[in-house]
Amino acid sequence: MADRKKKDELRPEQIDGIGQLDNPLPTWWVALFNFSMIFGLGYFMWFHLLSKPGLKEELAQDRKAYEQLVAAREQVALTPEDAVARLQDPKLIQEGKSLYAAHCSPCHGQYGEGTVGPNLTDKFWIHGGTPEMILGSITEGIPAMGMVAWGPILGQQKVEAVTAFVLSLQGTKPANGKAPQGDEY
Amino acid sequence: MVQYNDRIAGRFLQATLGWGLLALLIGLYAALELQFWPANARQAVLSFGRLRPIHADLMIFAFAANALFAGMYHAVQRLCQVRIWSDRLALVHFWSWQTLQLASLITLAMGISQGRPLAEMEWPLDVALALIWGLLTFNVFMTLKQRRTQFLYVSLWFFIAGLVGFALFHVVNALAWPAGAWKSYPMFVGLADAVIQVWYEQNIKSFLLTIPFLGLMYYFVPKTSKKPLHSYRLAVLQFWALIFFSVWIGPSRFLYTSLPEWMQSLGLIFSLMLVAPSLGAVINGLLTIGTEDRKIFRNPAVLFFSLALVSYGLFVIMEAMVAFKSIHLRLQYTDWMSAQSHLASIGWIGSFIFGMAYVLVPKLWQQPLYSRCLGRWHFWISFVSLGLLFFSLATAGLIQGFHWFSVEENGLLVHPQFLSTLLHLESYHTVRMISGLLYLLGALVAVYNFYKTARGGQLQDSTRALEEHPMPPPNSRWERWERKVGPITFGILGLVLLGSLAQLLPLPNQQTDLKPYSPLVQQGRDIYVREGCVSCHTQTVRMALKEELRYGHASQGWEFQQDRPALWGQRRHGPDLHRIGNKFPHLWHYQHLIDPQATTPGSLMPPYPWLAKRKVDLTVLPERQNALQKVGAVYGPGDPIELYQAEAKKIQESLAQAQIEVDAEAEIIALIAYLQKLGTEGK
Repeated sequence: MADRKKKDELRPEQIDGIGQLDNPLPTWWVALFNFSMIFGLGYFMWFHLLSKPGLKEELAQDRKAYEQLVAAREQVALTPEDAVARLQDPKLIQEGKSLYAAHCSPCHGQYGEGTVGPNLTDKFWIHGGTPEMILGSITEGIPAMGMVAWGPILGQQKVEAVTAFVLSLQGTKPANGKAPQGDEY
Repeated sequence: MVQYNDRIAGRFLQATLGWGLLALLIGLYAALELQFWPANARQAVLSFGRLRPIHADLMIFAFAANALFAGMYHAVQRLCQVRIWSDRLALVHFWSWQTLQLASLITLAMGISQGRPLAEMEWPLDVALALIWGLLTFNVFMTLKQRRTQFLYVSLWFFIAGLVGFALFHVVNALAWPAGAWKSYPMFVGLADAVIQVWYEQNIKSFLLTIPFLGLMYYFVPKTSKKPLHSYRLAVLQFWALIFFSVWIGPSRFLYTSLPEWMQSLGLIFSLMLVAPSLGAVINGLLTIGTEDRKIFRNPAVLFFSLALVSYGLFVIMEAMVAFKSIHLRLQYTDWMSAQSHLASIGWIGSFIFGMAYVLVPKLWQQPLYSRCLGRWHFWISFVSLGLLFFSLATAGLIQGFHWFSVEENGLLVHPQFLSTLLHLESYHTVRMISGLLYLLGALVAVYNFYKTARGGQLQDSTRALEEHPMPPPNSRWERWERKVGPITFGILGLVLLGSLAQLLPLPNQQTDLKPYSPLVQQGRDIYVREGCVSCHTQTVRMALKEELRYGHASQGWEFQQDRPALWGQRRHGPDLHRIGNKFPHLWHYQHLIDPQATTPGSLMPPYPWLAKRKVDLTVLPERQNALQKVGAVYGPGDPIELYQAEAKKIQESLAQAQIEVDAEAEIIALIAYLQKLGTEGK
């Protein structure tokens, strides 16, 4: 190219002492510019003219894969009888303690004394007080009362740990306990 | 002989520095609040939701824009070889702009806000801004018309693009119907409004903070380094590509949302294509400075210009990087985006402005700089603080982004609780705060230096001999065109309109029978806007499985169809709220708003005790409903005040069951109603 030779040549216009050289465009810069435009065109054609799978299809696929994972999770989950037996395990209770602090204490209080949600330390339960029933309440939530279904969020194993901890709170009588609600168990 | 009006440039420079210090101080305080919520001091005026927009708006419209005006008045007169067309108009421009900034500061602190990013001020101020901008544009164009040289130097094209472009973006984004003196509802709704907001926001960054500043760069860099511009043709090509491409990049901030996917892809592509033209300016500037003459780096201005250009180049590359969908998904809404915006505002704009001040203060006050050594100290302080600021925020963003998206083998989120993704970031936020403090100290050193310089001299108009430089006749049609203001202006307008209309005309208008928000819910929404909740909470769950696991079903476009304005938000200092409705009982919301730490131990959210005390003025309801009807909401029969009272009573009674006594007209009731309504239609 003839332009290459004209390095550092001053253009005739000048203003306020500012001159302008007529240096050629750097080759790498031109290459970058062209590459980005070709890439952009290719990208758009690939996804929108050739209709390759987009974000919606990707999400649908991910959802399906996740459902399979959930199904697999439920298969390995223990039967309710086994679970109840395991709920006495001190290790599980210890694990449940930190989960409780993070997820349950906002509504049930740091010590289970009850704030927004009911007191968990007395013998009275609104939605059933047997270990299976508590496990069920935590897994499926109480949507009508504003309690979240924790099963899909924490998973079976962690819900069991929380249940174990909640059961261990029975009869601890913390300060400022909320008045009993529900039926005695 | 020609006498330039240098006093006006000097005034604008003084205003720049004053506002700049204030904006930095507010930013520093906001950073403190992010880490230490009691700094909100239980005061509405001091709460983060109100301070953050003030910080951002002052940085842009008071710090950057004033500097732009100072540089423009200085450069335009010299490049046209003529005094500014009207001294009086320039003075009116100066005082009205400062008044506008003060009014914006006061009204935003009072909670008068439209909730639109970088355009929070309410409609009376929007109108004033448009008028003042018109004054400036008129004055500059008249000066151009009277110029004593045929030649239009590249800087002037950049100024024209900034003046014309900003006016257009501002006016379209500000279209709204007033509901009283200090409240309005936008003409656009839902998804369309979200597109307008992001189109405006990204274009402000291009047409106010980049393009006219590049114009200043093309003037001050050759001038200060006393060398000719490296490449004229690079400047030309870079200019037109920048104008055309930057209009399209808005939707690159909305990847994985309910925006049509072809628009998202266009945003990505144009962000990528913008890299080369932007780097064109960077290399043109840096090669003009060159490395042959090392002595010029003793001049703090040259050091700052170099840092500004390098930061700008880095910023553009990073913008393109986060426009890629998979990267965007993980980094959008995290501190990474703050890292980028501070690289632009501190690294590029801030450095450039201080560099320009090191040139202008000695020149305007006709006195050599008090201390170059202090200037270099200022440079190194700024450099270190910029590095610390950038790396702390970028690292925090990476960590948070990966925490949000990390899952265990069984497909469950590792951090299902949002708060636990924030707790790892404390040390990074401390570094960020220290870096902010450092930058502010550097700025104080600079202001001291300028003050000492100015005291030795005097701000006065300078008189120069006219340049006698023969201008060769144009040797092509192109060269004839680029010496004329008209064709250049229309060329710019054409490109900007083409890019804008291509995005705004096929604007998704979702057909839906979604009912308007009830008076109570709408009132709650207005309070949400007033308190700046959007500063920390987004309202759009993106189309990705891990987003759905955390927040609930992905948001669909039609769900926003009654949102005036759209409140999609830009940052997640707290969780997304689009699926918060009906998730918790009213009582939880009440306690959480009054004392967030009681329901969420360790929460960073400040308390909002005034919401329970302040009462909604029910007399504004008919006026607001009327304005909403004007912009397209269709209401059924029924008195808004009665509807409001009936709905509020239910929430009040529900709270009363838990022995909480609160007035039915208390603001907190309306806000709870809104939060409980959010996203319930599309579940």
